[in-house]
Amino acid sequence: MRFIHIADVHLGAEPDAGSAYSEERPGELWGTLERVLEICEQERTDLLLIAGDLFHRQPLLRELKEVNYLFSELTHTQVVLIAGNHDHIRKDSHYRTFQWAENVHPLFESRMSCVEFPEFQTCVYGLSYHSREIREPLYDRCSAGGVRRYEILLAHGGDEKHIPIDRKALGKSGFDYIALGHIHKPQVLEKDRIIYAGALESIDQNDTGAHGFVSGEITDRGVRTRWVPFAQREYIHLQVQVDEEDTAGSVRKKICKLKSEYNNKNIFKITLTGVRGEDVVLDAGRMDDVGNILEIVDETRRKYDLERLKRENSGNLIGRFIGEFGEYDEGSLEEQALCEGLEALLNHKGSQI
Amino acid sequence: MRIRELYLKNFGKFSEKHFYIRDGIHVIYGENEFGKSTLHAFIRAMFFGLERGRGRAAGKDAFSRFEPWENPNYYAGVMRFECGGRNFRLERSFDRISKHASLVCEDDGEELSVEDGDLNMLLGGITQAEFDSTVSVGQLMARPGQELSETLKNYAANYYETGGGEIDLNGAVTELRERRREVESDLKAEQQKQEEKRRALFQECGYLERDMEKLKREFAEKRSAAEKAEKDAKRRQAEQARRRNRSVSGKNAPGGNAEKQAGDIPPRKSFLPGAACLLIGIFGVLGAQFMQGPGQGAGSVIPLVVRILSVLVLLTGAVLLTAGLRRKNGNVAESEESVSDTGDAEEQEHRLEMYRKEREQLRWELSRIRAEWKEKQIRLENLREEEEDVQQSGREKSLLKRRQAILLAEEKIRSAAGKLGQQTSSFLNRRASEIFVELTEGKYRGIDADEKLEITVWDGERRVRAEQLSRGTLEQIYFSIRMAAAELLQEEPMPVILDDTFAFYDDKRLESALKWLSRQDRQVIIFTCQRREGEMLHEDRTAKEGIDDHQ
Repeated sequence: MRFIHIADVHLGAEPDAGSAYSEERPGELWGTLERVLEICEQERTDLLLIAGDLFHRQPLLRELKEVNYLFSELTHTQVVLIAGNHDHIRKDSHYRTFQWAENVHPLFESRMSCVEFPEFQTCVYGLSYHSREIREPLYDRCSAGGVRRYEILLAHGGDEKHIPIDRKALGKSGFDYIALGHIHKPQVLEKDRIIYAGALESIDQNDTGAHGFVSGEITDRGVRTRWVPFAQREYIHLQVQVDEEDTAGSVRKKICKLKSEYNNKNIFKITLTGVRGEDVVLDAGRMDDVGNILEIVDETRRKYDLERLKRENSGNLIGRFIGEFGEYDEGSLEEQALCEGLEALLNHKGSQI
Repeated sequence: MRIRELYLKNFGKFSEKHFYIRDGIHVIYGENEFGKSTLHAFIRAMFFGLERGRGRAAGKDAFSRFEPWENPNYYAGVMRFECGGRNFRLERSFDRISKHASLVCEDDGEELSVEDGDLNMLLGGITQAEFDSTVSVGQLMARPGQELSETLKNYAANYYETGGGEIDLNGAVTELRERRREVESDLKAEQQKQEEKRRALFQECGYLERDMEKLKREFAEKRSAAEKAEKDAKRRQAEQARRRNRSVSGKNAPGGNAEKQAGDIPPRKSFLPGAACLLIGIFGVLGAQFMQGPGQGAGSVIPLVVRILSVLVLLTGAVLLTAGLRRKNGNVAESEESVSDTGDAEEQEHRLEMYRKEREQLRWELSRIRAEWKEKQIRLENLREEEEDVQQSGREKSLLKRRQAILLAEEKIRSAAGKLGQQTSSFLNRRASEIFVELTEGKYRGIDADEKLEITVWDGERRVRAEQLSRGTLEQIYFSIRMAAAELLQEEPMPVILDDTFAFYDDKRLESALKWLSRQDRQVIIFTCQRREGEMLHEDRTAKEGIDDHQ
C-alpha cells in the first residue's frame, strides 16, 4: 500500500512574500496541492493522508467545492482528511454538511474514529478539532484497534495548546504509521513511523527551509518513507556582514549577490551584522532588486572590547556604566542597551571642556 | 613618576635640544614665543603619542602644529623618566614613515612594548583625557559666548558625575534621547503600516457586513413577497370555491324561501312527486273503470268519486311533472352557464400554477440568499480572525526592542552617574575645599557643589555663587578641583604641568599655591612668562633647589 502524507496546506492563507511574490502566493498554495494530486494520479498512490489544516481558516463553500472537485478527479487514490486547529469544525462549518466525493473520507468526529479500506487492508484513525485549542493530550492514550492489517493514525498538534504529544506514548500506540501535522517544520519523531510532513508550502516568514511531503509504502516488511521537497519557494534568513568601508551601494551588491546564490525565487530576510559607517543609510526598499526581501534587520553595531574599556575607565562614568550591567545573554536587551549607551558615551568622551 | 630629561630631536621649533628636569618644583621661564607650549605639547606627545588627524581638522591638530619647521620627515624625541624606582627611556618618532615607539628600562636593559600597553601601565592607566583634565593645567579657558563660571561648572560636572575621562554626560544623554526619538518616529511609521493593514481588513469586513445586510433585506423582501403570494393563492382558492357555491344556489332559487328549499332538492328528485301523482291518477281512473264494470249503475256514486279524484291526482301529477321538466330545463341552462365558468377555472388553474412557480422561485431565491449570506458570514469571521492575527512585524519588534534598549541605557547612565557623583562629590568637595582654603589663606572656608552642580563658595558667613567671584578666585577653584581630581583618579602621581596657570593670581595667593605644591609628593613643572614664580621660590628657601632659569 503506497501513501502520500501531506499536512498544513493552509489554503486561503495570504503569506507575506515580498513585493514580487505576495500577490501570487495564495494561488501557489493551491497550485502545489494540485501538483501533489497529479503525483498521486501518476503514481497511482493508494492513500492520500491530509493531517489537518487543509484550510487556513473556515473554508468557504466554494473552496470546499473546488477542493472536492480536485479530489474527485483522482481515479485511484482514496483521500482521508481531518480538520486541524485552523480549519476546526464549528457549529456552522460547511464541513458539517458538505457532501464529499466518494473517494474522500473525512474523519470529522471530535472523538477517535476510523475508516477502513479492505482493498488494501488498511484502516486510518483520526479525530478533528472542534475548537481552536485542545489542551488535552488526546493522542496519548489511543492505540491501534487491530481492525486491519495496516493501521495508520492521522494526527494534528504537538504543542501545549494543540493536543500535546508524548513521543513515547505514540511510540507504544501500535500504529504502523503516524502522520502528523501542525508543526510546519518537517521532522521525524521516529524513523519511518512518526513523522511531521511539515507545511506543504511555507506559510509564514519563520517557516524557513525546505517544505514538501512524505511519500511512503507499507508492506509486510514494514514501512518505508522518504521526504520529498516540493514547495515552490522557501523563506531564507541570511546574515550579511558589513564593515566600515561599506556604502549603501556596496551593501546592496552584497545582498543581491548572496540572494542569487540562494536562488532568487526564494523569499529572504536579511540580517546585517558587523560594523557600519555611521552615515550610511540602509534603506530596505532600495536594497531589493527582485522584490523578494521581506525584511532587513539591521544589527550592525560597534563591537566593544569591554574588558579593555572597563580597565581604562575604571574610575569614571564609562567604567561605572559597564559595571551597571551584570551578567547578560548575547542578543539580550541588556547587551543592546550597553552598546547604545557606550556608543553615546564614547562619542562624548574627550570633547574639550 | 618623575621626568628626568626631555630630548627634542626634532619637534616644532626645537631641534637637538635637551631639557633636564629636576625633582620638586621646576620653573621653566621663557618670554613669549620661547616655545613653552611646544615643550608642554612634547611631554603630552611622549606620553600618549601624536596621531595625525584626518580630513579638515588635520590642518589644526597638534600633529601639524608641532611638525618640525625644518626637515619635517624627521619628527622625533626622547623622554627619560623614573617610575617606581626604575629609570626608563622612551623614544618616539611621529612622522608617517618611521613612526614607532620604544621603551627601555635603563637599569636592566629590558625592552618593553608601548603597543602592548606597558607604558600605559607605568602611567597608572591614566588616559590622555584624564591627563588633560587633571595634572596638565592651563588657564581656565571659556568657550566663546560662555561665562567662565559656566566653564568651571561644566568642568566640575564632568568630575562629579562622570569621574573624569572628559565625558560629556549631558551630551551623551542628549544623543541617546535623540536616537530614541528617531526610533520612536520610525516605530510610529511602522505601526501605522500595520494599522493600515488592519484598517483594510476592517473595511473589507464593513463591505461584507453591508452586503450581508443587503442580503438580509432582500431576503426579508422576498420572504414577504413569498408570503403574500401564498396568501394570495389561498385567498384566490377560497374565493373561487365561494363563488362556485354562490352561483349554484343563486340559479336554483331565484324566488322565496320555499322554492329555495325546493331548489335544494336535487333536480333528479323533483320529478318524483309529479310522476307519483300521475301513476296514482292512472291507477285511480283504471280502478274506477274496473269497479264500474260488474256493478252496472248500482251504487255508482263511489266509482264516480274515485274517478274524479283520480283525474284530479292525474292532473296534479301532470302539473308537477311539467314543473319538474321546466326546472330541469332551468338546470340545463345553468349548466350551460357553468360551461363558461369552467373556462374561467382553467385560467385560474393556470394562474395558480404561476403562483406556485413564483413561490418555488422565491423559495429557491431565499435559500440562495441564505447560502450566500452564510458564505459571507464565514468569510467575515475569517477576516475578523485575520484582523486579530495581524501581528507586530519583525521590524516593529526590533524597533520596540531598540527603544527599550535606549531607555535602559539612559537609565543606567543616570544611575551610574548618580552613584559616581555621590561618591566623588563628597571626596572632591572635601579635598578641593582643603586646597582652596589653603590657597585663599582661609578667606574662604570651602567649595560646595550641590546636586545641580551649582558651585558656591562659603566664606564663613554666606554662600557666594561662582558667577559672582573674580577671575582669579575662579581660577583657584578650578585649580583646587583639578588637583583633588588628580589625587582621586591617579594611582601613579603624575607630574603636574602648569602652563601660565598663575597669571591671574595675586602675589599672596601665588605664594600659597607654590607652598601647597611644594608640599606635594609630585614633580611640578611650571611654564611661565613671568619672573614672579622663580623669584618667590628663590625667596622660599625650602624650594630653592627647584629653580631653573632657562633665560
